Amino acid sequence: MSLVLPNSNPYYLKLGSQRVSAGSFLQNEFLNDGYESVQLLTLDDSKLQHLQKLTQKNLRIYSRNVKWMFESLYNLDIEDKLLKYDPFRVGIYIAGPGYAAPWDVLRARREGHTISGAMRQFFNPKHGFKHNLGIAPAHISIQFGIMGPTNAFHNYPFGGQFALRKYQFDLEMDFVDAGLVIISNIYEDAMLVNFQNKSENRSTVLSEGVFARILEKKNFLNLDQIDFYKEEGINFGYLNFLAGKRPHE
Amino acid sequence: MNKALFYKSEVITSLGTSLAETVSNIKRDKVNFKRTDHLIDDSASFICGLADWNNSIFQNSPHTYKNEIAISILIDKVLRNSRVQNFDQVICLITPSLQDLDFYLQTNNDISKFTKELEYPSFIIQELARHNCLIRKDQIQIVDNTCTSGNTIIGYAYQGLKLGVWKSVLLLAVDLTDAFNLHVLKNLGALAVSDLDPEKISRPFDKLRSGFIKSDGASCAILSSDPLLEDQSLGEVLAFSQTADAHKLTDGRDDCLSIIKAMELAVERSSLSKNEVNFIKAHGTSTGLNDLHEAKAISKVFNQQSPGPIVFSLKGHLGHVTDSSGLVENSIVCASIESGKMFPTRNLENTEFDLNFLREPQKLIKNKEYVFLSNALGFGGNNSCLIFKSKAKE
Repeated sequence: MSLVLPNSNPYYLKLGSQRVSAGSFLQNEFLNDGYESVQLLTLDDSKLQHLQKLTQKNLRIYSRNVKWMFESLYNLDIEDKLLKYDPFRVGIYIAGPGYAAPWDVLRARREGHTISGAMRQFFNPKHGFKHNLGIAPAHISIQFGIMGPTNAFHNYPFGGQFALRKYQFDLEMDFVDAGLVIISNIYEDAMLVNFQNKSENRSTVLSEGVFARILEKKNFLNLDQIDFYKEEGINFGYLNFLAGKRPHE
Repeated sequence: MNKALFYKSEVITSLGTSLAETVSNIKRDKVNFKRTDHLIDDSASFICGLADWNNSIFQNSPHTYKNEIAISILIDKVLRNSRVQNFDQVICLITPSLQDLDFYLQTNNDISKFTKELEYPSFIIQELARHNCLIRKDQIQIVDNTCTSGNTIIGYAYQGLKLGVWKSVLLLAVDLTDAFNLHVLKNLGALAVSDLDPEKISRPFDKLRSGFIKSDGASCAILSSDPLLEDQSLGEVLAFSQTADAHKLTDGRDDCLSIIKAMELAVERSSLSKNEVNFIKAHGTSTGLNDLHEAKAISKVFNQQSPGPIVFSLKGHLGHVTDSSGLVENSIVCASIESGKMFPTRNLENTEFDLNFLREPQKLIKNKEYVFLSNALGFGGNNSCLIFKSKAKE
């Protein structure tokens, strides 16, 4: 089986977060030669406000995960690139974290509530769905007028691989002409990252990142040649893979 | 080309009779899967697998969490006596249960295992290993496509089998509700508000419909391309399509363009003509907008046929199992076709839609292959359609 991987196409990769106190550690760990085009960004509130203004149809986005995805997509100028395709022939393939707001849950527990009670108390229930990963493709399809297959996979370590494989299947069966692949690993609050990094049980470093790319019928690469087990980090192996570089090559 | 055979499946459901009762049932000490008696009759003993494991078995489960109990029981029932014991892929959808997380955090402070994507795959590996089925972590996928997830995992497996990448796929769909989930649904106005008898609240395509009943449901199924299994299969998946509304999160498009496109693509990809479709298993949630848009789309796609395919929805029987509804309902329909009987659209009395609804139980003709189209329309505006062909039974 083959997979489209157009190295000539631009991609957007965002790493790190200002709120992660272990930021310098993350830089040293992951910024190697493989990331020559990487823009290391911090979460810039002014940029997010700008993005909120750009969004159409009164689309309000509450999940930081989706905000980062949008930021990546706007940096790719995907609107121009997708115009040439039939909207029904473009797919969205997302891999992201399942729980968008673990910190809210943990904070609530510290205040003596049960999780579900706290969720009801502190969240506007109308916004509840918008923290769901399954809604992220809907946000993107609404914003960019994409009407093809939309898929979301949980980012448990192999989420990125599964998103790519689904795209591969859709392409092989001639369901789509192009795909928008977005892989994110966002913990809504850096507290979780710090907690994990200091944990005695940690085996890998958790960090945040979003990768977005338009994949088209151009170059092919064999997905089965990639040994995902050798990759380090929770999901950066897949980000590396998508970027066309592997950290240890 | 390989076939995608729907080989074996098991379903557990509970009918949520009212919001209050459902809320009280979801407390840990009252976890209770109820028999859906009106679905259980002599011809459909397959469906009432639930009757075999009553509350005592349920409560004596070695596992603590609701989702894990459901996964454990389903895997056990499907793999026991199954001719397929090895899988290339496990595709699942497991919605989180906040009650489970509450309980989990009380006993385990390690939040590195907090998220479901880190926890459930390990559990599934353990459960499969009990049946001598060894699976690696990178063979387990978790899909989250809102209400279309059930159809999507079947379609995804269909694609892998058709392309020859996989030979056998285990599908797992678990959607057990919790208080927060109900709270969100209620505030969205999706849950039924009615003074009617609880048994009559869920009324797909009826004039008095006011929303759906959220119920618990879980299902496990095997899809395989092994031709040796063809004699025991329930049917074959012929086609799969997905589209998105790109309109609004909560409302569908008024022109129903994407639903129409999804159904047309599915029929086109199945290489069948529209008049070869015998039944349509509508999503039919019994909310105002869903039923309106779906009925419009069905009449538009099949308007040339007279009287057109028979339309039915199972939500009147089951309530809405949201994410896992696709796998649960398709398993039930495959089993009911095999048993020679089709379930009607329950609680459908008066309707404003000019469709050929199934109102009474229908006996099916022996030795005939039936084709049904299965719709799933999800929150956020994603739609997916499957086309199944049942096997001719003597």
